[in-house]
Amino acid sequence: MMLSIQDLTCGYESGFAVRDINLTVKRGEILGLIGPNGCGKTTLLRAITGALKPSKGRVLLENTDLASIENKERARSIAVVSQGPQFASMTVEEFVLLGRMPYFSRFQFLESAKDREIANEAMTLTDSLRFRDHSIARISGGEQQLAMVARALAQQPKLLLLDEPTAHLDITHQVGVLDLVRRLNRKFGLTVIIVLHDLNLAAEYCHRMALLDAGNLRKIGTPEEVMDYRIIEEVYKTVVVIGKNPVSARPHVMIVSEETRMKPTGTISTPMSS
Amino acid sequence: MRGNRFAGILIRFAALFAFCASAAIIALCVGSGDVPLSRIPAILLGHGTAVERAILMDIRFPRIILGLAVGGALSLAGVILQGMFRNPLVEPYTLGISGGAALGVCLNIVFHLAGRCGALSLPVSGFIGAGAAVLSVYFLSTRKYVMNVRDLLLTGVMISFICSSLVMLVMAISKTEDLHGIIFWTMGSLEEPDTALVTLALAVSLLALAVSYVFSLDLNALGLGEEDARHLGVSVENTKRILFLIVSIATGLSVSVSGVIGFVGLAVPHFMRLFFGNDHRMLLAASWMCGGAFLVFCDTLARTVISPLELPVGVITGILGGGIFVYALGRNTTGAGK
Repeated sequence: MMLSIQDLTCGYESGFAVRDINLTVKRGEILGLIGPNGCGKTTLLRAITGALKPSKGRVLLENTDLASIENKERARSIAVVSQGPQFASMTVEEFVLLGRMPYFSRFQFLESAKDREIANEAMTLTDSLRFRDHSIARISGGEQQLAMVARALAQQPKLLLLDEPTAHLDITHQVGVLDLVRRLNRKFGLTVIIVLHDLNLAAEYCHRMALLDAGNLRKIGTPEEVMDYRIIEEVYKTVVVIGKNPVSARPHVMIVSEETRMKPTGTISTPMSS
Repeated sequence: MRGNRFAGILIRFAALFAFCASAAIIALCVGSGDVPLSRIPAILLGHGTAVERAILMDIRFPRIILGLAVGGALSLAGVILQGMFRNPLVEPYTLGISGGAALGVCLNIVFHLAGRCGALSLPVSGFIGAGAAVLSVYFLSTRKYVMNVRDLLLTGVMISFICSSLVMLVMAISKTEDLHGIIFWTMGSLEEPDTALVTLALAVSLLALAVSYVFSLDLNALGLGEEDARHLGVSVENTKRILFLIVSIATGLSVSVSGVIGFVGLAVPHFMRLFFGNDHRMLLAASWMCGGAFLVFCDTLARTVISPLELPVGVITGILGGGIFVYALGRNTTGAGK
């Protein structure tokens, strides 16, 4: 087991918390964290990174309590592609090389040839080598996401955490980033936990999905198990139609607007009305 | 490509070294009694007249060393604080650290501690004042062991105001002879008769530079935000505590030996970012060198502009430093605070 979350409760001073979360992530699995805005997806992710301390329960990484793992050692095992980091004025290459920091000794100031080689490989895998000399602050949002994944790969992690990596991206870049994550998962057996707002992307790319609702784990299972219209409608409080992607055969959620819902019966059949 | 970048960095450091050397040579030659450049090697080798040797070795040379030490320490404190908090307005002065050190030294002057406990009590008072200000700012802006940058800045400015008011209070109730000493000292000067203090200032300034280098990569990571730095393995809170200690020592010592000298810690790091970017492995050393050379240059101007009278060096650093800051802000669109 790569990650095991046991009876986890943690949160903020404001009072919001995720409560009594129990879930496990197998080695080589892609787990999608989904749920409405403010349901606790990022909070749970922060608990897994160690940024939030549990008030109850624990997070085990390969059977070791995360709280007992020293910062640098944790950064060698877990890499995070966070949501909207502050980009300082540096080149993409310098940014990716920061991913080698967890491997530096206290008095090491320069990257070794091996560090540069690993960073180059990460940039090649993510197709970010072509803009390595550009300023990270001045490239497009899609390129920034690729650079962030490259930096995470330079950490040579066992577990990759991504917090809404497709936010603000067009569909070309959304598919580009998630295809890359899947390739890395298949090629290197990388375990991935990914927070996604888009249920269809989550269903398309994740082996399992965990649905959070108001700080509680509502359902965890395969996309087919989680994308049940009754559960989705209850959690998201809207009417949806669940179909299948005709090509991948994965569940596909379709929304129904208020105007359509109000049309006379018989013009549209929704799972709620059928 | 990498070779070109390395060569570029070397050229920039060579230019900086040339600026340091020029500032030092001009400071040696120019003053109330001019010493020709051609005479300097002979005097340094002990062949000059007694007057020439006294001017160079007893007056100007210690001022150059003190200028390098104080300018370097203030710039270092500025670059560390700006890197830590990703805010262009953070420096020892805005965080109240200079104010705390100033209050410490003022109390030392009023209570004549230097006379009773020796000259070393001055930097110790400065450090205690700076340390007290840092601790106040730290604890007032920390919630549940996490420091909030906005609270930090607001608290720092308030502590600075309180310290300035207390210095004025001390001045208002102090004796005339003490008042003269305090006023002269608050305007900033590199005139320090005690060579032991000059040597100590240089040693501490260089030590602060060396220790801060251990955290140069941590500062680079902090540029991405504290959470991202933590993801890269940085022990954020511990790192901030140690860097705060370095800043307190560097500022406390600087203020205690040379008075309040503003704008060096604010302007020089901004100017250096234009040439060296945000990589603290270069920025720390570059800011130290440039800050030192800048203060030596300003001191030469202060000594010569209305010679034989001497201007407070803080006046020159304020005018030049402010100008450089405005220029750097206009040029740097992706700087630390952006």
